[in-house]
Amino acid sequence: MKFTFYLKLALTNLKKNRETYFPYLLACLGTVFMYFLFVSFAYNEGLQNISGRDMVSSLFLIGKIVVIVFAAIFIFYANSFLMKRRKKEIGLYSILGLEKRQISAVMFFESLIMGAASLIGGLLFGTVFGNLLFRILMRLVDTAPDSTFILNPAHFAETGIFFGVVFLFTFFFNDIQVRKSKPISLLKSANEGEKEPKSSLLLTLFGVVSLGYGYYIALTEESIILAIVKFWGAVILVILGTHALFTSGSIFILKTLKRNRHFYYKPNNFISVSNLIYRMKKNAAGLANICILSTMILVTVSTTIALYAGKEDMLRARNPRQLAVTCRTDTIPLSELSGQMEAYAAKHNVTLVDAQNFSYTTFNLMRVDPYHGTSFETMPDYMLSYSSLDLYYYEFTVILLEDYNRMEGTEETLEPDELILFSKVNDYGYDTLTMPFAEFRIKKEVDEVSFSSPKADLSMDRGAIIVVDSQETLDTITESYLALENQTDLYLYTYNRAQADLTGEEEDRIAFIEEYREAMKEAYGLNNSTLTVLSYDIDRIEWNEMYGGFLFLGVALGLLFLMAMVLIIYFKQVSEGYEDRVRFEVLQKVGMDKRDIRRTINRQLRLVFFLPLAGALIHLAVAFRILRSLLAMFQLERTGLIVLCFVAVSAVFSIVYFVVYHLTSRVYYRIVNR
Amino acid sequence: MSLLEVKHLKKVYTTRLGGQQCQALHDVDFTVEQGEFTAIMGESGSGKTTLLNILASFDKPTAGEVLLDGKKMSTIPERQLSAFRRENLGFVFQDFNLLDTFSIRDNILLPLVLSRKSYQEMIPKLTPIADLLGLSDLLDKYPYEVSGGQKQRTAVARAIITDPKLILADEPTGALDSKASARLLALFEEINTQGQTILMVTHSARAASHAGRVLFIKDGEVFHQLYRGGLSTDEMFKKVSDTLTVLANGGELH
Repeated sequence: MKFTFYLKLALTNLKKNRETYFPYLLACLGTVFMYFLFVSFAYNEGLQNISGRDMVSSLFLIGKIVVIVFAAIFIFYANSFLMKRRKKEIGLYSILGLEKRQISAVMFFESLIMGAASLIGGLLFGTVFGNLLFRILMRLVDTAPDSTFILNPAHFAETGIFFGVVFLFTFFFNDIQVRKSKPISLLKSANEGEKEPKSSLLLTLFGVVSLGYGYYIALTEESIILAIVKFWGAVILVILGTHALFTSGSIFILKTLKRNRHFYYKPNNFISVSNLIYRMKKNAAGLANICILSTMILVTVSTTIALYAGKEDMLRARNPRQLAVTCRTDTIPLSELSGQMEAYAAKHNVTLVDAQNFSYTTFNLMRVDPYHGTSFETMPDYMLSYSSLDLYYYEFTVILLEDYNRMEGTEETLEPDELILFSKVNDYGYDTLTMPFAEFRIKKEVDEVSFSSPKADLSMDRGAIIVVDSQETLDTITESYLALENQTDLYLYTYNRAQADLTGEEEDRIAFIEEYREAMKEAYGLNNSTLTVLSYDIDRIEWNEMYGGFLFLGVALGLLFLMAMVLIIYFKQVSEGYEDRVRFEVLQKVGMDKRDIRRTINRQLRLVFFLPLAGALIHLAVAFRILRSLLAMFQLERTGLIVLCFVAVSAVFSIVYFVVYHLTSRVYYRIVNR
Repeated sequence: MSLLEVKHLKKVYTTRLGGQQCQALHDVDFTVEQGEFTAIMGESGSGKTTLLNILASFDKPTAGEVLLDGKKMSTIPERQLSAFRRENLGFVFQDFNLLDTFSIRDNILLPLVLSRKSYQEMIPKLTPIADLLGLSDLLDKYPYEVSGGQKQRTAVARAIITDPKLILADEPTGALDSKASARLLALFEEINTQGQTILMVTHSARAASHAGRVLFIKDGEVFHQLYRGGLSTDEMFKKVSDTLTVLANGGELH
């Protein structure tokens, strides 16, 4: 009997506050759905037949952790926002004679209803759409399209327990709020005068420095390795800076404007500036969060799309030929390597097209100036502890002129001190090249070679392929190099390489490659690192799994963050609306035109809501360089493609943001004009 | 010609649901002369607030006419209403209606800023008014930092800074303690002696007794009026109280 009373009261409360509770419910439901999806994808028995099971599993486990962190923060934040708005209502219950214990009971039922509704709804959605989404995932990763999505009660239970705990915590939080409260202060809280916010010069400066340093790292770091190391540091600096600037910097600017009397005492500025000061005080943290969430969405979605879109490019860069087999010259003779390749291919009905067999020698030096200059030196020991080693490390790949002419179909000639050069990253651009033991003239710099990867815009593997006139020249280089002192990690090796494109059924190709590889390994006692087999076909399967999985995860998380952002914007609009309604009335009574009021308020709203978007776009633009370095780690080395993905995602996101703003501002106007 | 002429005002509200009609003003007819301090009294529901809203041009009458300085209010186009209000009327409300985002100074200057006056023009107006109302030391404070009486005096300052033809006060002492009320009413009298016309709606006999003339409204009509003549405030208070007693008893006045 008592329980039904509390239950009824809780239900009435939720219904009465549906304007805010319904969107909250939807967001919770979406979070439950996403969590359930990730859990059931990560551990799905239906994955068992696909080859990249571990890859997909671990991707979704990472996704699950992100959702856990997100759900905990987000549900808590939304709940505390809703509670703040209901202080008065709770005060009223207190005054009407409900004991705190009883109000707590009502709160408990509210949390229970919200928790149960979002769980049931989320799990229902998961059951209904899980299979469809699983199929989309399988299509993206391009394997085992017939594998099925198997529902497992354990996944339901795991989701239920996790969210049960989250909602229990929201109840504890609300309970503490009720217990701490005094009815009188509850009733008054809405009318309490707001203190004029203080702007802290120190915090503003901190914001400028923090953001500035974060930007500086993102904009100037040349080394890919260092970029990866420093990335998270830069992210944290930018988050801190954004918060500080939104909270303190904005008020600092507004107060400076206010001090300028000629600017301030104009009708529009007068009202806008003084309102904005208060509006920023209340909303700065929320706006900074929107800004950071937006940046996260933009970064996640555009990088995963870039990786997926660049998949083929990356495959081609890594596999200029469909099959390339490499081993040291002293293990398998070149003729054997290529002869066996042909033999095994024939066995599997695969034909080798444009087969290329050659030997090459690699050694490394340090480019004294990473971008300019013709001088290459020995690499001292201390360079190894240098984190931006990748900038200086320069690998030379030497091949003989006869091999070059044969493969390229050219009839070049060279003197002993002349080179033909192909630079792997950017153009070399000089006529000479100085090594510690020899000086060369560059007879010709070529833009591409048929036997190696195309030129990259940005890559960790800096270096050049150089063509020398004869074996004698190569021998001289080898001897001089091995005689070098001061060269750390002195290494110079000669490799045999057999490579070709393949025709034939994909299954046959893969079977051929695997049998050939195993046979060679066995015959010569080699392993995967001493016999390198690069296959387009095998890579493609792995990469589809990885980047298809990335894309699915990126878009799913992007949508989750977007949902959170929409809800925060909506909440902001609602609370702004209730506050502005009072101001609206007063201004009207004092003799301000309705149209003018609307215009001023519109201007303020737009400023406040588009500030985070502008911030996010700036963050993204600044982050572009460092993200490009991260993508280069994944061998995505085409700047144009990355730019295209970033711009497209930003454009779509801006449109979505605008639509969300537009839709939620209707709620705002409904409240103000009520 | 009178400053304010109120002719046969009638206001009928139609409830949004059900279409039931409710007559707030039946037939209100009176005039206010330049320089007068008039109080309008009546019980809750007598139509005082409706009347004030119409005088303030927040609301339109169903029938009848309001003329300010000979100009018919109903002929002012909607677009110019707020400018008209700003230039001709000053308001003092029961709940002050100060903006909490503005300092006391900015709250007072608000109507001048809205009229696009320059800052140099504003200061010479602000200083004497702030002195008169005892607000000079509070100008940089914010509404939440000052007392109710100080808030209401700020509202008065805001109302008179534009030199309005008429000040409309709606229960100005309603939220004040007796001391602050007395001070505010004394101020009203002082402003009035300087030539300011004031029309005040109240149900406090004490407040009304400060006025030069008191109109009593009952059931949407002007029921009776009292002139102060040479009476002191206390004598006037007694007279107003007596009238209210008679009114409350539903008796006829002679």
